[in-house]
Amino acid sequence: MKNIGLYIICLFLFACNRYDKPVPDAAPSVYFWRTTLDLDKEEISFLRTHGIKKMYVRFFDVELDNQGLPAPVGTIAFLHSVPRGIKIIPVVYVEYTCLKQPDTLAAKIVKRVLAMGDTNDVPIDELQIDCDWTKHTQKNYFELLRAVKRGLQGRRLSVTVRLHQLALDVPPADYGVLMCYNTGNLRSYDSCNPILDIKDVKPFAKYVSKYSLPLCVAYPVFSWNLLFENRQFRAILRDVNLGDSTNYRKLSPKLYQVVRSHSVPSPDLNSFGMMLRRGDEIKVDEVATADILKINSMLAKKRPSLDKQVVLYSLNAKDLNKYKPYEIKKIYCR
Amino acid sequence: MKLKKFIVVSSVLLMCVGNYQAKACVDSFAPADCYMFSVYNHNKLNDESIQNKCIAFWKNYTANRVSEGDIREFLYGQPTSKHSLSVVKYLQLHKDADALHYLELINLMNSLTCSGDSWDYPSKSELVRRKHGWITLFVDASKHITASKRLGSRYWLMTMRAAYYSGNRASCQRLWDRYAGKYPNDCVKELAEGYIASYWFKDGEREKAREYYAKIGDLRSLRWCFNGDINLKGIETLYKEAPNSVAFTYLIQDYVNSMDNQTDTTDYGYRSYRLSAYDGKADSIKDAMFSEMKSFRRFAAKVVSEGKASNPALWQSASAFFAYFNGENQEALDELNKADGMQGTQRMKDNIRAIRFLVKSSQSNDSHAYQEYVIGELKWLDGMIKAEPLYTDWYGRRNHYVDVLRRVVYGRLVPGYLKLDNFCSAASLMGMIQNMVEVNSYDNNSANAQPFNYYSNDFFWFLDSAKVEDVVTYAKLLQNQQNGNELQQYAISHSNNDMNYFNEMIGTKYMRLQNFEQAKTYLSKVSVAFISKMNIAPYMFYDSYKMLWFDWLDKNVKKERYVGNKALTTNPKLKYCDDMLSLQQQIRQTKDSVQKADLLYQIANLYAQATLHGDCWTYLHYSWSVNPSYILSEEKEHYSDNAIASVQEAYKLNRSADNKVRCLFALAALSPVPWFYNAGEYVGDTYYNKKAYNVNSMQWKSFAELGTFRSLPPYTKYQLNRCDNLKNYFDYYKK
Repeated sequence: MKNIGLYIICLFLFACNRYDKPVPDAAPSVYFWRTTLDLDKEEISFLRTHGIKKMYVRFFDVELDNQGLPAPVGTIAFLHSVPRGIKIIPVVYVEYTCLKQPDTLAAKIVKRVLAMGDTNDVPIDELQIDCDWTKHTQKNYFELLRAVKRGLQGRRLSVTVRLHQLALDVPPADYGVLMCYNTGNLRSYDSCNPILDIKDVKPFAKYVSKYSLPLCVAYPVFSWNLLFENRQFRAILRDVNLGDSTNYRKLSPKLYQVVRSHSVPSPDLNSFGMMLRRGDEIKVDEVATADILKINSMLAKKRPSLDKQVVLYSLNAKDLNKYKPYEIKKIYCR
Repeated sequence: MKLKKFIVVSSVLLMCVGNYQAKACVDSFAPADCYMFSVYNHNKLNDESIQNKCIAFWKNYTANRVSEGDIREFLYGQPTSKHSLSVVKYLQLHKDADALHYLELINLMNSLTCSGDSWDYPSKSELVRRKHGWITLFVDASKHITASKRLGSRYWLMTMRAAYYSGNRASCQRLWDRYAGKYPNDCVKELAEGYIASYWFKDGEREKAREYYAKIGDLRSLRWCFNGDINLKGIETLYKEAPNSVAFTYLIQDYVNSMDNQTDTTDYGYRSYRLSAYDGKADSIKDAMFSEMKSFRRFAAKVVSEGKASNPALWQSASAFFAYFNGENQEALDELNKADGMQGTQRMKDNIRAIRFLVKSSQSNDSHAYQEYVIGELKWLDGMIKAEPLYTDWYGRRNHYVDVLRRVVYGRLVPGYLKLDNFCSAASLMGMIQNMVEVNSYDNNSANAQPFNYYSNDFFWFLDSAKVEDVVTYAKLLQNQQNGNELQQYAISHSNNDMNYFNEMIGTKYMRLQNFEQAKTYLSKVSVAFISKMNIAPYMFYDSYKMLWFDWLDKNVKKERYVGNKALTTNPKLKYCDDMLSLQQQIRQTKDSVQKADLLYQIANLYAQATLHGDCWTYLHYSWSVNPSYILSEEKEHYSDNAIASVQEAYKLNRSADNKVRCLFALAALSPVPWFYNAGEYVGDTYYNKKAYNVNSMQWKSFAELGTFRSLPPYTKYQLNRCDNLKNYFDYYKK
């Protein structure tokens, strides 16, 4: 009788926790999303200070070329090596339009990633695939993953998981990284914080507990300035000095108004620059540590193992300097 | 192919400049909005010119014995193809060991670059092989620089390339220092300089790098040098550093044209629409731009007065152009005159002349002196267009002076003359530019040529939207050119004046006004051969007497609108006019109401058939679109209204059930508003169907009344029980 009781208790516990598996070798991690692997002093210091053990590095994207065939673009150049003790996990972003022939594509991706690792002395024992797939592209995407896994011959395969994908079938991978960022529509003037807003995350929280793939979570540490003209989105601004009161007036901590029409450099080398018109508004989106912690707390209640590994997006001194070291520590749950 | 890719990939020269300025000529192309300020020829800024020079070199080297196509294939296509091997064969035949060795090294070089497959990634051993390959190439090529009699500079370039790709900067610099002075300033030297230029900028020798990129027209690299500071601030900074920088030619041109992009309004182009979006604001974008232009003008005046710039004409003309933007036309002209007397390149002087023409064209008038001036400038532009190579891009076959002509004619002269109520001067200029520019008479590339009787161009739209009286006056002038003024005569002499085109258009305009007598007068002058070649000719075979609202009953009715290239034997529009006149007369004369109702019913069909809903839309229109808003916008001729009015009168005149049924059905078909429409909407990602009902529509009311006839013979006679739309209506009613 006692044994039966014990058995029932164990069964109950198992039933509650059978989905809640941590990712293998969980450790503080970052994403690296630039096209040259060169770290400055601040970034190296960040890695050391916070004991970062993994860097998920975007190796290349896969997009359709002029002939309509999948081709690698934006391949990273390895200028420097990363500090010792940090594992590099290659990430390949695949445009969903490239999923027509998953087997062929998988072979190419794996071959290229391994070749890149070999040439640049980066040991590859895991690969992550990033793709904004939906129900319509699920079949081909899953075939791609299965083919990649076969090609990896025993190495690990992880995937990114967007919030909306939590409601879909679980991809055939070893674990997933839940992307808790870009949760809103940056083109919408009324969107509170399209980078990360608890209101956008809440509807998906219910799926987290039963998601049958080991999961960790990624949080954003970047910010952006969004230009709106008559509440219509125009552009993401770069390198604007919002503190210049001759050009901008602060309406609120997250909203500025252009007080004098003027031109700003455009990031596009083919264009001359942009005119900002008096009356235009600039929304500043950034994510406060408190918001990240609140969301993490909500998700961790549903799935305690989720934050065993937190990945910050992304490693960039300019963005990370906005956070105090203790805030980063808190996010990494240390 | 490999060599071409190598050049593109390896040389900082060839970083996709192409038709940069042309692409910058606004996203939505309006001919009146082309850039005016041109102090460098952006047409020359593409890698094809270097290719062509290389091909020309080898053609000359092989004493024109090898075709250009074979050389092109060898250099930029498949080096092992049959065509390419003819180059090798020639060299073997002439025992040219030097050139054969050079080609061997070219092959080695090609093998060191990326493979054709973008998925390949070089392994460590491959990188080592490549490095050794470059070193081998370096050693081998360097021995031949002075030893080769005819290919020395090419060996030099190859050696520099090899030094660059093996990371041997010191050797690259030594090679440049030692040999640059020995070779002429040709494309080989330019390519060689490119390797050095990339080091210059990294080392902070910005001026050297800038000058180089400016010299070769590599705008992208030039912009990168300026790090985005390409507006007034960047110009001022550069002036402090290097008052005579070659880069100013590009910077100032780009700067001026970017201001032009935002500020100049035209009556014809779409820029006035863009600016109007900002109207009404106290400190609009316009004010900010004008304020910045004033600052530039002050700065330009300072530059000119300091005397450091070797091309003060450049600065002065830019300032003049800004004065023009500000509406200070006389000031602009004065400054242009000053600029003309200053030092500058020939292109800068030509630029001044073009801008002067633009400024003066804002002051259109009919004086003899002005006409003489305009004719003089048009002749000058004609010569300039012919002198500069044309290129083809998304916006057609053009060069800078084609753009100037378009801007002046479409943007200023034509609107100016229209404002003066001088339709004939405006039309003759439109006809001139249509023929000179749009029909590609400057180029023998007939594949791109538009036929003159083309019904989708600015000249057509200009005439199509004009009053018939104006076009009639213009047509008379075409036939009596000596009655026109000098400008009109000049323009007409450069136009294609096929009277068939104008008579046909005038006849159609009168048809739209339902003046069928006058329409016949002009249409009868048009040859059937001309009509057979019109764009709408294939669609002119429909029978206008077929009852439009009952054609769905005929299983044999052709649903395809295009019926092929049969030749017309008569002008269907003439027949239509005759039919309309006859019916109108009969309607006027008939006293019998039943007969009259019948005639009205027939004429209603003729009216309806000529609308864009009908099969005979070609009688009044020159194009057709499925877009409902297009159809609505074209319905200016009231043919639909007349059709409806005729049916309504027919309905009243004959109270028989048969007449009522057919009239009601006709009214339902002619109703501009259907009895229901889909008012579905998206909620999230899901579309929810919903219908909304137009109970006051003519169709609703007609259907409602038709319901009272359901049990009567005419309902069956007209097979209305087969009409799905009517059935749906009755089903709805049952609910």
